[in-house]
Formats: sequence, structure tokens, C-alpha cells
Amino acid sequence: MMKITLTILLLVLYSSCATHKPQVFKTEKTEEPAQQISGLSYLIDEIDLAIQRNRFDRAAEIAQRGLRITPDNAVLWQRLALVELKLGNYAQAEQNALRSIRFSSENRELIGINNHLIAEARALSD
Amino acid sequence: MKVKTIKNIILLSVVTGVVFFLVYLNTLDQKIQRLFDGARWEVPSRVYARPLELYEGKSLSRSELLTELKLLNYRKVNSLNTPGEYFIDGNKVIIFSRKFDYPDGSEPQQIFQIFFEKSKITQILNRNGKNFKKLLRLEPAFIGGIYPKKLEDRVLVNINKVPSFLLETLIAVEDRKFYSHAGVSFLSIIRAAIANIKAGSRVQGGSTLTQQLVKNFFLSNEKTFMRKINEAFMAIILEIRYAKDEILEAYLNEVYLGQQGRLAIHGFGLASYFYFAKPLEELSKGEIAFMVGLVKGPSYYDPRRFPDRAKTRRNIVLSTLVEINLMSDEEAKKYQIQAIKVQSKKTSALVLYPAFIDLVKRQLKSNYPEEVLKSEGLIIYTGLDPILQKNAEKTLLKQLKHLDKNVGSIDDPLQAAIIIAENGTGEVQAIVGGRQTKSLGFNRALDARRPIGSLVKPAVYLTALSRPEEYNLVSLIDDSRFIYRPEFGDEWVPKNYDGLYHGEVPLYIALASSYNVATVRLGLNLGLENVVATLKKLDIEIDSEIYPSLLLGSIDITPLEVLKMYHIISSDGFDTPLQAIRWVTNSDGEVKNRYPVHTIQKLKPEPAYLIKQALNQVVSLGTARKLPHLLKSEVSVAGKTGTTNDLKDSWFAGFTANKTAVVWIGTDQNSTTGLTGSSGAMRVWADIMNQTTIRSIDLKPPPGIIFLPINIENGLLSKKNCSSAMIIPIYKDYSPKKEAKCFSARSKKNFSNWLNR
Repeated sequence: MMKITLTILLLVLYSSCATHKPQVFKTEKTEEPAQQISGLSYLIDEIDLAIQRNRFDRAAEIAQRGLRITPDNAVLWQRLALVELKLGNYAQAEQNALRSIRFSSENRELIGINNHLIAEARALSD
Repeated sequence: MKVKTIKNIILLSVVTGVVFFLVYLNTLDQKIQRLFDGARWEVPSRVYARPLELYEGKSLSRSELLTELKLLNYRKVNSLNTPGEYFIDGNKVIIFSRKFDYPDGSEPQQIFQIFFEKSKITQILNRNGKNFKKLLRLEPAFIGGIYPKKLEDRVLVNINKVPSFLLETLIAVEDRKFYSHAGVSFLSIIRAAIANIKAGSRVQGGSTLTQQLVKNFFLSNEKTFMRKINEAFMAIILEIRYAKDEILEAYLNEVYLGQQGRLAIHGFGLASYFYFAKPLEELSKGEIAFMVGLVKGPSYYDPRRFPDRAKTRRNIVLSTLVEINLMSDEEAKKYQIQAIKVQSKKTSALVLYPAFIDLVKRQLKSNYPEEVLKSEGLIIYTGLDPILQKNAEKTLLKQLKHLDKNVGSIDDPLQAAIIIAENGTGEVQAIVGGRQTKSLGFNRALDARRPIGSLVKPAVYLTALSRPEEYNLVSLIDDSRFIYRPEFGDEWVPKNYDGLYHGEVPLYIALASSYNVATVRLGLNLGLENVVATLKKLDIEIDSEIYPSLLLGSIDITPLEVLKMYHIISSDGFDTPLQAIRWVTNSDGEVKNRYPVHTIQKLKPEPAYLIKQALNQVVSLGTARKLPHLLKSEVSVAGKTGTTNDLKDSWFAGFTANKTAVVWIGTDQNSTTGLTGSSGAMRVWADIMNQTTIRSIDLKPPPGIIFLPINIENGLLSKKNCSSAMIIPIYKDYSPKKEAKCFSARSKKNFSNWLNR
């Protein structure tokens, strides 16, 4: 009788262990997402304005200022990719777009823009 | 006949004399033009830190901001009047910032209020209580110069930007007829001679500003009649050749005004910083009067050594200004009762962070010869973070002091190196080259080539994970006894740190636990040349002959090279060359060189992601498992410990989402330290990270990776709730299709054992 009880107990313990196994490999950040940086949207507007005015060096400088503040910002990498494309630096444009994609997470629209940009950069560099 | 001969002789003598005189004048003229038309001074390059960006949500404590303000020589006041001041009101700091030009844009002077809560900026308002749309920043701090052999320093000023009060005071005190004389004032000389005869000693000088400039700029200090003659003629030539304002501007920049250790302080531009820690335009009239008074004798009137003399001299200058109606008596009296508040402790260090400046010089070497750096007054803008740098220095010294008690020997004391970069942009933000942080000496961060031990292992596992058809994170690696038998030479029997063998272990456990035998077996299976190829992708070049011991880190590389390697891993396989510099401009602010962010994908996203996951496991359950307990914040980090034979080197290379940092501890004579990677370097690493903003690494998988339950015993697909199943990230295109049976007592036993052994 004792043996049966112990076996049942072990089985219960085993099954509970088996079903409540901690996940070893994490998929997400454990902390809250970084707070929106005030002033960043103003910076992005400035980049866009500089691009509109064909002031690409200026746009690149502003984008890099932004990246020093928030190095994993997908939008800033995408803008830098666009600026490099405009400057004729196709290889760098592609690399920046790839980097943007890596940080784009679920932003399908931004990923699409980057893929388009990569295709354009490749076509232009041929 | 006799008379005619005499006349001829006289005529000949006169002509000869005139010719000689003209040749003499021409020689002086040539000298003046040569020196005055070219680069007039050897102006050292000036190196600046990053400007501190300020925005709501930024992790920055009030005390960190105050540290920055101190470095920028902002003055703490009770009410704001001029730029360069701040005051503290509870949890907010109100700043009157200075305007400044930076290569990517200018910032106006403005007043803003910064609110803090728990080491974070919660709000920034303007003086009217409204939010700012734009990002704010403070000017970059000066962190050192690259000086010429003749140790002189100056900050060149343009006469149009110099306060008019300074020019008026200088002329009033030193040379009232400056704008009307022709270089030499005979009236002044006579007046001075009479005054000196009356006094019985030299109480008054008769030299004009032009003569003083000539003496300082072209001639030596010898007191001979010939030098006085040369001085007078050169002053006249200078006045003929150049405009008055050009001469005055040269004077403002040339005049000797003090001494900082071995470094001579020249010109009002630098003297303003040297004495009052602020630019000329921020000086009060009293301070300007003092500086003009100082021209007479910078040593004699040194305000730090002889404050009474300095005050008396300043007050004489102020009285002179009253005499000629440049200042009211009332205003002069207001200044005369004030003490001269020079900055009390002028650091004798010419360079605040020599190890960092060393890197700057090396990176500039390809564009600028050393002589240019020492003479052309270049401005070098870098990414150095002075707050992080100070914390790194402080932490290292504190930790070494602590470790000394246990392990250090006086003959061969513990040394260390730290190097920290920002992920993404690859900017080097802090470097500590050894215990002596204020003198350069041997820069261990850049030059100490040491075996890296287990820090090399990620390259081995990365090579494996780049072969998805053969390996995934739970592929079993053999950690049983292994004898390497080379064709020639001795056998080699690699051993684990714990002296045990662990049988078959999942790949991620082999890396996390840093098993040597498993790593050697894996590396040899992969092929040494393939591991070397991976190292090359990680910016590590192996020039020497390759031996299997390479797999355990018997390669000598520097902390900077280790940083390059881990920076690529932390950046998802993108290589962004590490750089210390952002821009180089000339003294007028014209950009000469840009050092933009360049990035290139060196690793495919999938293996880059998997190795990041594996290095996260090093921290979760491997050799660095104590790290989360050492960190104050609950952030997910990744890294690798490294320990070399006989505990000679203690390494830790780790990264967060925003920083990658490498710490090495060892001794210069290669003695044993008694430290492992986790008991030495990792603690320093944690301590530094505790004092800066760190964010959790991003473990969102790239599109080519999915999470699947895998049977860890046979690598087949499994049901989630099976005891032998583990959910792992795996290549989508190489995930197993066949499903294993659920229960296996052996695998369950093995799994718990792997974690415990």
C-alpha cells in the first residue's frame, strides 16, 4: 500500500514538473518598453525636411544624433538608409535598411519600406 | 682735392650705411612676414566629450547632471543672471545654458527646468513652464589637448568677438595711444624714463602694445641695446604692414598670462578659462580688469598664490578706468571691494582621460600627422561619456583596492583595463587603461595582449550554429575524456575547470558552463580553420600558426579587440567599427573630417541570434549566473567569463541592449591573480553597469527563427509538455519534422544533471 501511494505521489510530482517547466530561452524583453523619447519626433521631422530639401549630409547628421540617443530605433536606421541611397552609397543603404528591419519588430509597414529600399539599392548598384 | 676725397668717403659711407640699413630693415621685414603671415602659433588640438542630451524619460540622476555641470564649470547660484549658471530647487535643477556650435547644429543659450524622480528626468520645462519640442543638450566638455613640445596653450580669439570692454581696458592700461602711434611712442619712452629716474628703479614701461607683441612674438627676452633697436624697427614695420586690429588681435592671443604646471597659458581666450572657468564673454568688468592687470606680471600677481597683490593690481586698473571715464567711480568701488574669485583648484592634469585621448590620437593618425595635431588648433569631437568614464575609473580603483587585500602582491600589483562602447553606433564611451587613470603610461585597454581564455568560445559555438543542418542549441556535445594526438609533438589532454567530465551535454550548456573538453571536441569537428574564419568575421585576425589550444583561448589579444568581437555579437551580427571620434573641425568650426556610422552585416541573423541566446544562458545558468544578483536592476544581459591558466587573467565581456563592455584584470608580470572571470572582472563589470543606464537585450527572434519544443535527448520534435522537451529557438528551415515519443526517463535524468554538474 505504501509503495502504491509513493508511486502515485511521484507520478503527480513528475507530471507537475513536466507541465510547469520554466522556459529556458526567453523571447521578449523582461522590462517595460523604453519610454518614448520626447523630442525624437521633432528630430525625425527635421530629417525628413532635410531630405526634402536635398540636404542629405544634414539629414545624415541628424539621424546619427538620434541613433546616439536611441541606437535600436528602426525608423532612424530606415531614414539613414534612405539618406545613403540618395547619396549614392547603395551598399551602406542596404546595410542600414537590414539593420532597420532587425529592429522593426512587428512593424510590417516599415519592413516593407525597407525591403523596397534594399531592392532599389541593389538595382541601382548593378 | 683733400676736401673732395673726404666728401667722397663720407658719401660712400652714407651710401654704404643706407644700403646696410635697408638690408637690415629688409631682413626684419622678411622675418616679420614669414612668422606673421603663416600659422602664427602652434595651437594644440582640443578634444571634447559628447554633449549631454537631455530629454524626458532619460535615465540620468540629479547628481549625474551636477557632475556634468561641474565638468562644464557651471556656477551654482541663487538666481540666474548669465549663461553658465544653475540653481537647485528640490527635485529640479534650473539651468541657464550656454549657447554653442556643434558640427550637427547650434544650440541657443536658454533657461530650462529639469525635474527628476528616481534617477530619471521626468519633465523638462522652459522658463514659462512650457514643454520643449526640441531635444535639448549641454555643450561638450573639454577633456584634453594634444600639445606641442613647447608646452604652450591658447584658445584663439577673434577681435570682433572679444568684449569691447576688454579692448578698451587693455588699451587704457597698456597703450593709450595705440590707435595713433606708428608702432613706437617716443613720448611714452621719455615719460617712462623720467618716471623711472625719479623712482630710482623701473616702475613704468614705455613699450607700446606693438613693441610688446614684437618682443614676445619675434624676439628673445634678453635685455640688450640691440634687441631694443630691433624691437623698435620691427614694431614700425609691423605697423606699416598690418592693420591695427590685426596687431591687437595677435596681442590678445600671444600675451603670456599664467602657468599651469609645465604648460604656459597664452592669450586672453585661454586665460579666461584658466582663471574663471568661463568664456571671455561671460567675464564681469571686475574680472576683465584683473586679467588686464595681470599682463604686467602673471607670476607676481598670481591670484592663487598672491591674492592681495592681485587684488591691489586689479583695483589700480579699475581706478585708471575711472580716471579716463571708462567707468563710474561708484561702479569701480563696487568691484574694488569684491574678492577675485578664481577657480580654486585648477587640475594640473593637461588631459583628463589620457587613455581615451590615446585612442583618439591613434584613430586620427591616418588623417593627421602628429605635428598637425599639435599645432593647427583642430577641434576634435568625441563620443566620450565623462559620467560613465568617471564611474568606470572610480569603480575599478575601488574594486582593485578590495581585491588587493586578498590577492595582490606589492611587487606585481593587480592591474586592469576597461573599455565600453555604445551598441548601434559603435562609439567608444569610456576607457580605463590601468590603475593610474590620470597618467597614460601603458594603456592596457589598447595594448595589453593577453590570452583570452574562454572568451574565445562563442566563436566555436557560433561556427557550429552557422551549420543548422548539423547543430542547434540542444545538439549533444561530447564532454568525455579526450586525447589530442598530433602527427608530431606531444599529446594534449584538455581538462575542465572542475576537473570532471560531463558526458553528452546540450550545446548551450557546454558553452554556458564553459566546458573545455566539449569545446575542443566540437572545435576540432568543425575544423580549426572554420573557427578561425568565424573569428575573422568577428574582427579577430589570427596571424600565427593555429593549434587546437586556440579553441580554449590561447590567443593573445587586447581588450579593445575583445570589445570588437563582442560588439558584433551584441549588434545582431552587424559590425559597426568602434570609433572614438565624431568630427574634426578647424578652429573656425569648418568640418575637416566626419566619422559617420557605418554598418555591415558580418553574421547571418539566425546564428547571430542563437549565439546571443546562448550567451544569455551563460548569465542565467552558467559561469556568470551570479551576475543577475550583482546587478541592481532586473535586466536581461549576456556575456562570457574568461579565466586563463593558473588564474593569471580574469576577463568578462558582456552586453546589454545599449552597451558592450570588456573588463580585464591581471598583472603586468603575468603573476597569478587568484581570480576567475566571475570572481574578478565580472564584479567590476556589474558595478559599472549598476551606475549607468542599461536595458535588457532584445531577444525577439529574426524571421528565420522559430520557437519549437525539441526532445533534448534525440533532437526530434516533441510535445510541449513532455519532460524531455525544451522550447528552443531554432532555424525555421531546419527544424525537425519527425516527432519523438514523449516519455524518456533517461532524458529527464540527464536534463536535471546537466544543470547541476
